[in-house]
Amino acid sequence: MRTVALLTTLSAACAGEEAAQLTLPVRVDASQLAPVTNDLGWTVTLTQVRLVASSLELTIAGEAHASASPLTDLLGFFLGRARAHPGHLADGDVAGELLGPTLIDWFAPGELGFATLFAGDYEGANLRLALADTTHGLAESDPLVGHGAYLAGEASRDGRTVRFEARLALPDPAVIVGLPFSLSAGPNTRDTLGLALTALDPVEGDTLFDGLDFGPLADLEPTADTPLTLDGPANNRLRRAFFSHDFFNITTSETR
Amino acid sequence: MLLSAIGVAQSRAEQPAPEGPDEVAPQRTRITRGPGFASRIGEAALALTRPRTAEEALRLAPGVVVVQHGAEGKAHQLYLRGFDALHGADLEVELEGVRLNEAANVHATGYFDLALVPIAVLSDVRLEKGPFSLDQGLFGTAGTARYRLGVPQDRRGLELGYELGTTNRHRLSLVLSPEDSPSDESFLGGELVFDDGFGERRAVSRLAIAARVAPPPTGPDSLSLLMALGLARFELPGLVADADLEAGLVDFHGAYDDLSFGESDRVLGLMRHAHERDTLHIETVIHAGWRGLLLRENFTGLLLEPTRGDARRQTESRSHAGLGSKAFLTLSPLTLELHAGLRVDTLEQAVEQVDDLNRRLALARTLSAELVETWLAPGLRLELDALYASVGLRLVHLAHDTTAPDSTLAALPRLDLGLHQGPWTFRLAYGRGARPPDTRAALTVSDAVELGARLRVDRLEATLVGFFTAVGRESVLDHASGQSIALDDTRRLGLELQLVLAPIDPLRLRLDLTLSDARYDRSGRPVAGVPPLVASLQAEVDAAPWRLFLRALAVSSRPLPHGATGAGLFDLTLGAQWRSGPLVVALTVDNLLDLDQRVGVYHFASRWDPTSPPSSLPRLHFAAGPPLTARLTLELRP
Repeated sequence: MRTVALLTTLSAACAGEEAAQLTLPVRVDASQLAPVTNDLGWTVTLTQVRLVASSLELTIAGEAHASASPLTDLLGFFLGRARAHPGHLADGDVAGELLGPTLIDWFAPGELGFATLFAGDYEGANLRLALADTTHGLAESDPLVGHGAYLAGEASRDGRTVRFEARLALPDPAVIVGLPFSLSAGPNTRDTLGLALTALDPVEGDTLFDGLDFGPLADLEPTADTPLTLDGPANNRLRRAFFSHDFFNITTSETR
Repeated sequence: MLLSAIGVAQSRAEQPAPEGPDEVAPQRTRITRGPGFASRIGEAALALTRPRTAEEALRLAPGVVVVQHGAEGKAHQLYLRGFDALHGADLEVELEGVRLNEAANVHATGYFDLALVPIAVLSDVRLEKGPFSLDQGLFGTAGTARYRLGVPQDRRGLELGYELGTTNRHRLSLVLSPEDSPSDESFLGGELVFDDGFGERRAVSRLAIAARVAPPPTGPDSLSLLMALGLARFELPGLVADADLEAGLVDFHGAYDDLSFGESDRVLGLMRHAHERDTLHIETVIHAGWRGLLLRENFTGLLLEPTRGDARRQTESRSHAGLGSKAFLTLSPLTLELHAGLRVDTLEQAVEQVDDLNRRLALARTLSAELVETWLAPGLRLELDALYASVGLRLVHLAHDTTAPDSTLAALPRLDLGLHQGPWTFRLAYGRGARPPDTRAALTVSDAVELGARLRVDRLEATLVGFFTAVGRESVLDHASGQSIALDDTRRLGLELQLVLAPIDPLRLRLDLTLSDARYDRSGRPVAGVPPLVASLQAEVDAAPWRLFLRALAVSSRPLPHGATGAGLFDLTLGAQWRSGPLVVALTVDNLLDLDQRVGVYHFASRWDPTSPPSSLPRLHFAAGPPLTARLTLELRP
């Protein structure tokens, strides 16, 4: 009976417990939005970029990496090795998030709220998008309404300047997967997270506007007073580039 | 002598069984095995503990945790030796020599259920931990469970049984076996079960029938035919989030979704031929079967599809056929052995998103495949009075004919050394196991080492085993995607202690303790869900006409991802049996302390409250075990 009592006590002492969580502030980071020159020589300066995010997910790599143990490597050297297939968790495990919906405006940067995270080594993020509507604080006439993102700016080359705007349809699936993000989060972490947008891919050196020749496009719509509306193939090209993880990243800075 | 009568005996492989009521099943083969410390759950233990299903019989094996996160009829989730063996990914399960694990099953790789096994004709279950025997095949990375059917001599004739349970359980059983049969070979057995189950969404209706015909042997040759049929229809409760329980959204034994259910049908036929001469033994099993599986489940609620819900329907139709043969040529003290076989599985499966009326909304994936598995395993055994050695190599070739045909060959070496010295037995074993992770022709391999010692004296048997296993890739069942996911390399290090003792007549005790540390190589983090400690104590009193048993099981809290921990478990089971002439009355009480049991613990995101934000953050979930329940069984035995 002593053993039973011991086991009962042991079991009772082993109650489940949720993982420890921490909260970190998240803001819009516009510090990387500088003019860029695309592959056709147009220098592009953005003046508006807005979208509605349904959530920002922060991911850790989990255990989905391929590596071999020393023992299996050694045995495999002599015996040959049957390998398993790669893991499916390319997107990582979601271990932190900022829930929306949230209107994100890189030209009116501010606090987005607080993200809730489990402790862990974060290596990526996913930005989930929503179709913008008036419930997100937008006027019915707002060009973002009914779309996934709205961009406006100026493109200049050889003394000629073209104002433009683009209304980008919501991608399917409505998520940008794999934003660069690196943070080792623990109980004492005090960082502020920033959702940054850049027009220059810091890894490959290409720009958000590569392939867009604004001059001929403007010549097709020669109304000087209104900005050029990027549609058709130009819109598709910009949409494909914008809704990729190449031009977004999560920054960290010490919370003041 | 006393020890051998204990319900869960630790017998020496297939060597002539010790005397005792639990060891009545005759041996069909005189081929011996090494000193492996296998667990044998015999007919007497089964009759006393009264498992509801054949899978539950594994609960009697030391260090094994059997979790039902659905309802009776669905495959169980198994934990042993530091493995979360899921629904069978790491535990090979054989019925009469035919593997029941299904590669590339639509729900989880290695999925098996035993709905086709009537408990009344379950003769014994033998659990070998680790992949050390030459005849252990795919999925045996953590071990192999071998189920055998039969009716012992003292129960031959006509046997009728009726079980009544507090969950409105009704179980009718019938066993018919010729009294003059020289062995347990020929029988007809069946059972019909209706049970509302505990809590919500756990009702089951199932039928299991098995029959074997074994004509008297003609000279050195013997032949038997076995047919087994299982039909199961069951509800499925899903899992409960701790946070929702605290918020009053769902009861502890409740279910969110009142539409989930499952169907499992299976038929298996096999013919066994044995040829036995002085020095030569050849046994061949030819089998064919079909199974249908349908599971409609929703583990994540409204997380992925906020309006339509995340319910999915998994269906599979699979036929399989194969031939396996093993030959032993004894040139004392050497024995040459050769195992060879072929198995072909042809399957059609689909995963669909469905709505509240179970109508298809979208087709998530389909698969039509033919899986061909062949094996050849030569080996050599040396058996002396004090020494046993076995070495062999199992070659497995796996070919998949899908949209991308592929094949692979794996070499699985096995080594088993034993030394008998007085009351002591020592064992050192190494083996490489393998599991096919999915429909691709690839194998995850495990390398396992075991070092153990056993002491047998008059009233005590003590076994201490240390084990180490390195796995090429871990496999987890992702509830959100409904797929088994391959993860990083893992390793397991553990210790098992088993004590079987008979301090005073008629009391017998069995204590076992398993410590295991399962971790990912790269990160050093623990493998989720695997309990670091499993302990049980079983006391049994056999004082005719009474037999009593009390079993306590303790499972430590279990590590989960991100530093979360799942609750521990403590369970008391009580059994009593009284016999007078042909009448047997048995009472089984589960969860004697009526504790809220979280038998399975998980950590994933779900959303069941439509007014809550669609958070993707994982949270604690559990599968509830039964509350205090009782079953009364009446049997008329010959």
